[in-house]
Amino acid sequence: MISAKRIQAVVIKDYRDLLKNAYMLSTAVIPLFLAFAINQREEVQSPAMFMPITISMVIVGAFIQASVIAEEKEKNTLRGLLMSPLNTAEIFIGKSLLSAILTIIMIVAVILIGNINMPDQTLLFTAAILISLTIFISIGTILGLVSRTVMETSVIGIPVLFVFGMSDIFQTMIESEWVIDVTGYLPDQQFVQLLLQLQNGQAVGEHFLVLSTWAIALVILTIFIFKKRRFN
Amino acid sequence: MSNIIDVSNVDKEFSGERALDDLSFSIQSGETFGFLGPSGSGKTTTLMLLTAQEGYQAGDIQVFGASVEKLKDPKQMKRVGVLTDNTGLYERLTVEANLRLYCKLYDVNYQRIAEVLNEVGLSGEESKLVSKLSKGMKQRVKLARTILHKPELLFLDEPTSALDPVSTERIHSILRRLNEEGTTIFLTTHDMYEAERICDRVAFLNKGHIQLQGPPRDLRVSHSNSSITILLKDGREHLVGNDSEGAEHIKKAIANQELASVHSNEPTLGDIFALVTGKELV
Ligand SMILES: Nc1ncnc2c1ncn2[C@@H]1O[C@H](COP(=O)(O)OP(=O)(O)OP(=O)(O)O)[C@@H](O)[C@H]1O
Ligand SMILES: [Mg+2]
Repeated sequence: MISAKRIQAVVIKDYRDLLKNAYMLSTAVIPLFLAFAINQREEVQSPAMFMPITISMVIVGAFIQASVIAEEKEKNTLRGLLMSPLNTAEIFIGKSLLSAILTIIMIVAVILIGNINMPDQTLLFTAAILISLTIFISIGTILGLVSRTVMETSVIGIPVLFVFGMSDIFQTMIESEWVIDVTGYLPDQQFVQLLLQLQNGQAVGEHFLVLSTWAIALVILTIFIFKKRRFN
Repeated sequence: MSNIIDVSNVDKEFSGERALDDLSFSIQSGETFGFLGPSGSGKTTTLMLLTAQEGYQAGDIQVFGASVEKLKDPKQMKRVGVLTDNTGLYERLTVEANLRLYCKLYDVNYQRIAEVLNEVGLSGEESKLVSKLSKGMKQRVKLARTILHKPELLFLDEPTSALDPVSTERIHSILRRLNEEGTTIFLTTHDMYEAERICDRVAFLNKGHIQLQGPPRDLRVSHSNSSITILLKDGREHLVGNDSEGAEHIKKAIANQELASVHSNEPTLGDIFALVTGKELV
């Protein structure tokens, strides 16, 4: 049922289109600037050091994924795809695949540019990245599904992505204990904690558990919203 | 006689609001069938139903001799081409990149791109960005994309609306040629000239119900009031009957070398539409 050839066609089309999309490209360089800024500073504390990685996932994994989906609706190109032999699963697999590849390239780039110290346990580190990618691409897909235009994606997306992707930045401004406790379970903080513990050689099982739960829940939610909204 | 589309007694409601009411018609293989109706009469809705993009509450729709739902099967989907009134192209990509995507999706050789661009009169434009094309050219690219996989059955929703006369004429000649080559065409329009020029049969849609259907010529003849206008060289006009008295009148004008022109007063499709629905087409 699912054809690799058709998925590849979607990936190539989306890739070409992104390369010519000035709005997306200018958004996509933000993590690179951040990495550059971090590299310039002498003493950067560990949690902040991983920020370019989380921001890469927020922007490239979630925000661009959402915008690309919303744009297909806004520009009425989705109907044509749906009337072709391409099925909806293939459209989403294609788009998610491209987002994943681009995010991974971005993460490698920010690590190199930011000269970010990576944990030695490459396998666990890779696993953490892949699980987080699943989380952010799912969030992006949901945002794309619920908004009708690219503009709407930004309006709905920015607050959502602040919460899910940059909560540790605001952590310092929050006084209340229980809010800190609760936000500690957000994917970005779990991800950063996981990396820190990996670096310090501490156990990471609990963080993997929380992240995996997020990933599974969000994938299920994505499929549910997708079935319900049918793109319209 | 084989019917490619059979619609019987279909009702369609949108949250309680009736959009189509007891709709019945058939389309034969090889014909160009036009759905003519004013804005909001249900033309697009009908097209959505016929292409399995929308469900319906009552009645039955058969396409290619099977339930319309079967169109969702990729194999059946390859037999139809759909151009809706809000089909979009990828504006940042070239004409060729747009068509390449659909070649892959439909399993069509890239060589077909040159062929199809030639068919729609856009040879040599493949490397142009879609965003740089005129409206009429974009519409022809969309048409090229729609016929890329050589569908047997074409669904076109107002294919020439808001186009200039030259572009409209181009599209009409493309459609006529496709039809001569055997493609069955279902099109919607609110342009009576379009219906008259390219449709073998038309249906008048009003408030979701078909009021009248048949070949444009037959409709005009059956609604003709049989009067004939003769214009004399001095500019005078006479209305005469289509009878011996009228013939006498015309004969006399010819004998006296006074006659400038004679024409029968067949109503236009627009006139007939107004007559049967009490409504203007646009
Ligand atoms: N998705 C929808 N939800 C609710 N009502 C709808 C929907 N689509 C169409 N309608 C209603 O159904 C009726 C027929 O609409 P339709 O779009 O089929 O008309 P149309 O003949 O194509 O008009 P136009 O010439 O403006 O394109 C209208 O009253 C419209 O408001
Ligand atoms: Mg319409």
